[in-house]
Amino acid sequence: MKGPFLIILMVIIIGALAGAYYVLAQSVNVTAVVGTTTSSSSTTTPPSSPGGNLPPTTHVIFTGKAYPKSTVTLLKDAQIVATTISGVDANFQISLTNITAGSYIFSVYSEDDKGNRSSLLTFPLSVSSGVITNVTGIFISPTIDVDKSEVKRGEILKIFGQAIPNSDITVIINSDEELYGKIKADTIGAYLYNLDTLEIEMGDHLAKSRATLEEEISSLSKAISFKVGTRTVLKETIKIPEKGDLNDDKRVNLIDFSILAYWYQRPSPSAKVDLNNDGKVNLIDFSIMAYYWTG
Amino acid sequence: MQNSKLQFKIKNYIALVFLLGVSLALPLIGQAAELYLETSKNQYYIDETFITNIRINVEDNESINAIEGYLKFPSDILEVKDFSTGNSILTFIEEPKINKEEGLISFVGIIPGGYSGRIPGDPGLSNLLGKIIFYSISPGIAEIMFEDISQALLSDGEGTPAELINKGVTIEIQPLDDINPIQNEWQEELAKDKIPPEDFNPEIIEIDGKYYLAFSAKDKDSGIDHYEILEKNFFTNISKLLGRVKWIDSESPYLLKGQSLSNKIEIKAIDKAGNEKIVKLQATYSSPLYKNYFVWVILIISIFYLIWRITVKQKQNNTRNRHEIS
Repeated sequence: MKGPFLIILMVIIIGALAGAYYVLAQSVNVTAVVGTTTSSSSTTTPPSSPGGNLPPTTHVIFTGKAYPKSTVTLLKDAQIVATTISGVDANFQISLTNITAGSYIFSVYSEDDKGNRSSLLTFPLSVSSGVITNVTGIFISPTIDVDKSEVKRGEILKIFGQAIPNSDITVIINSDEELYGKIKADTIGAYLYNLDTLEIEMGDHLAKSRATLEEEISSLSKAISFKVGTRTVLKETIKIPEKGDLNDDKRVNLIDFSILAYWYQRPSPSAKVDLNNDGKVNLIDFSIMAYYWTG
Repeated sequence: MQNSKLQFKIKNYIALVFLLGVSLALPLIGQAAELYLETSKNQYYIDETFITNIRINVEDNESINAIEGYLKFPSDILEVKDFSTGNSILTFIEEPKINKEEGLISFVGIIPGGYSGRIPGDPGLSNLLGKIIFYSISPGIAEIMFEDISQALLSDGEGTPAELINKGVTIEIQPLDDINPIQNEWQEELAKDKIPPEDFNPEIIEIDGKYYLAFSAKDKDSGIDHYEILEKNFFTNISKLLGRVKWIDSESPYLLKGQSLSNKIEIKAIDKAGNEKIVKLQATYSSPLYKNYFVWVILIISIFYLIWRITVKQKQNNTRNRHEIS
């Protein structure tokens, strides 16, 4: 009878692990607080009822962690609606007011001190009229960059970026065999991982990173590409979106979307709008643009 | 005998545990998205109008950022009255298409940054892609189904197709009934919509050396119905004076008539309930005064008026002089 019990125990453990994984991966929480009438202290709106009460307001408050003194940008339905600067402790808060009730897609990203952007952290949210919605636990992914676009096999490739101060960084190298590296971010959130390229095969690779702090896990950073070859080429430091910036304004937004929409399923698109170089503009090109979106 | 019973029990345990393990592990390894339809009831009467919501679910840790949906419905039982983009999480690439005769509907859009599922504590589902407004024309069983060519792409920077599970809906349309009043769910929704579309920021863009106007407004209730554009120039100013302003129905991107970008532009977003939001765009370049027809007209009228005044004055002087002489 020991066998079945052992198997059941294993299932319980798997279930518990799956549950814990789910909770960690979904660390953004929403608390909807029913908006109560607030005492009028406004000098512009006269009290509309005895006692000077204002009608309930619709607010959405976003709270989370980015990098120390970094610019945090909030997008509502793909368009920038607010920016703020995080504190020295990397915490930030953005409040949106006068918002119509309905379903929204909110996205948040941040920029490090070198101008690198994090990946877009996106979450859907239904906003109710007269309700204050608190979105807490936003944990912005680290930024990531490399010092060489091509590195001679055997040399060191520096993988660096910024995250929450003192967080544990996991660097993930996507090659034939996935490679993981661990490093700790310093007091300003900067991290540097020296990759010994003897550990990976020749060819093209992708690197990503994620931060962990007190059981909270950030989403994955953007993927940065590099090549292990027979020569070393230093990486250019121009900060532009990798793909999707069709009007060269260093942003990927509704303007680029409109240009791409014009070319949707039209014959002979230019190479610039054909983001996957397959000779046509279709849903795949839009998916690539949506991935590199900055608002 | 006891041994075989025990073996049977163990086999059952193993099968049960295997199934449990698979069900627990699936959400972690899956890369599937689910497109599904939802109606408030599964039975309607002839002449009723009902809403069918198109929604999406995704597996944990999966993010979808582009969706192309194709739906088929029996055109002998149902008629599509409208497609509403209100409250949709999609940014539509083009207007949804409806083929009433063939019984086909298609839509295509993106979710910048991707949709990764509902977050804990969200009071709503927040996964609406669109609403189809059906009108029942004859009794029968109506199956509204996704076609296999529908697709959802992963937000991975490469547009990798996600495994897609499609769930349609089956509706029973019953003959007219004198007892039940005819229901119109869409009309009820339109009656509630008193809020105009949200503010939006139109932009002038250049494609193939020509200037276009790009715009996209959102409406959280009935959805955007259409856009109208007014390029302000001499003729529209005159029309305005005469009370005959002609707005042009348009879609984004709109090829500007005034390619010199010296016209002021007004863009009107109108929702399905008829609420409007007008956004004004200042001219990129102000045209010099001598290029303004309106200034020329005022100048010419002024000159004619001056000449007329002088002529009248001279005539009056001449008459007075003649009177004095006589």
